[in-house]
Amino acid sequence: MVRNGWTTVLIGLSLLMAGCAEVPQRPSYAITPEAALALVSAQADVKASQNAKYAWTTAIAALNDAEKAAAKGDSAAVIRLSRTASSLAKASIEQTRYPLVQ
Amino acid sequence: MTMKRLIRILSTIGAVAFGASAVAGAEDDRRHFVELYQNRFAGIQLADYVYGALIFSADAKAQYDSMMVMPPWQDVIEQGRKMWETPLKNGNTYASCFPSEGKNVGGNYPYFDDKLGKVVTFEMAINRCRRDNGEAEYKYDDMATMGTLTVYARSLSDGMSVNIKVEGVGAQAAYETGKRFFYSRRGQLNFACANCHVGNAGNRVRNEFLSPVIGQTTHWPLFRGEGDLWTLQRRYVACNALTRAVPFAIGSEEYNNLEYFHSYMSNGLPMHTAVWRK
Repeated sequence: MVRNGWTTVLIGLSLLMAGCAEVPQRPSYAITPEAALALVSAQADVKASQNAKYAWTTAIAALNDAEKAAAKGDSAAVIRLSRTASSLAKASIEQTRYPLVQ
Repeated sequence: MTMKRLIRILSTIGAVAFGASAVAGAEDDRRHFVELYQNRFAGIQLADYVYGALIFSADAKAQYDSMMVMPPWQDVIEQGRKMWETPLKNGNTYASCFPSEGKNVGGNYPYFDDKLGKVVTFEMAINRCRRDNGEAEYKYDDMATMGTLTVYARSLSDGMSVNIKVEGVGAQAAYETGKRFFYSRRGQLNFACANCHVGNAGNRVRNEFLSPVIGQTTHWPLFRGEGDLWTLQRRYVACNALTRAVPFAIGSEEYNNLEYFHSYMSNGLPMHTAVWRK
């Protein structure tokens, strides 16, 4: 009976530890000020293109990827992807001034 | 004559004149397309434009004809019929919401409602019917409800000629907004609807022929591939997404106005729902 009791406790502890091991830990990565600035600019540019109702899916995808990179603390990727998002968003706003197709 | 009265008379004359030119403008646009395509595709009869891109491929048309002998989507149409005939909460039916019990009315949609000050699509009329009879509205992008009901309801107008009207200042403005959308470049690929369906109609994109704008709206909702139900505005969403533009919502004012312009271009052509497309 005692042996069975210890077995139950050990199994319980093992399961508890396994469960704890699976709990995702929120990363506390930080990105550089330059990356943070690029990301904020990209978010503003994409927002402006959405307000103009001319947003491109590619700009939004690049921004989403930049935000994911920020969550991982990858400043280089944040800068690269944010610049792509900004560039595409600005181009989409320029598109509103394109002449109509003849 | 007072100045006030003079202004009122001049305004009335102006509104009448503008209304008349609105009709002329839309009709001029439609005739322009008819002439353009008839010059470019001399052997194709106007009535055949309801087949869309199939008119450019005898093989694809043969597949279509084969599919239409025994359409595999009859169960969906049947489901739509049951929905149409099932009484609403207060006992009324959808048929009671439409003239002629919904028969031969689909070709009149979309129309511009002066009181509402906006374009009303067939789907909006169905939702208005539901709302007026105590039911919750369907979502415009829900093919299992709105799509299925609409595909049956519009089949009641098979053979009816498309008969869109653009009358009055508000209607003209909505038409022009839809027309502007049609000719505006969107998405990273920088394509307007007109790029594919005017200038390049009859040409291929990859392995698919591009359909001409006239005849495009006569047969929606339709079934694509192996039986996937698509409304016209679901197609708009897909087209916009292909150009890498963020699409508008199905049922949005932007797409409703586009549908208004787009549908006018098929005026006079017979409706036929449901059909199959690739």
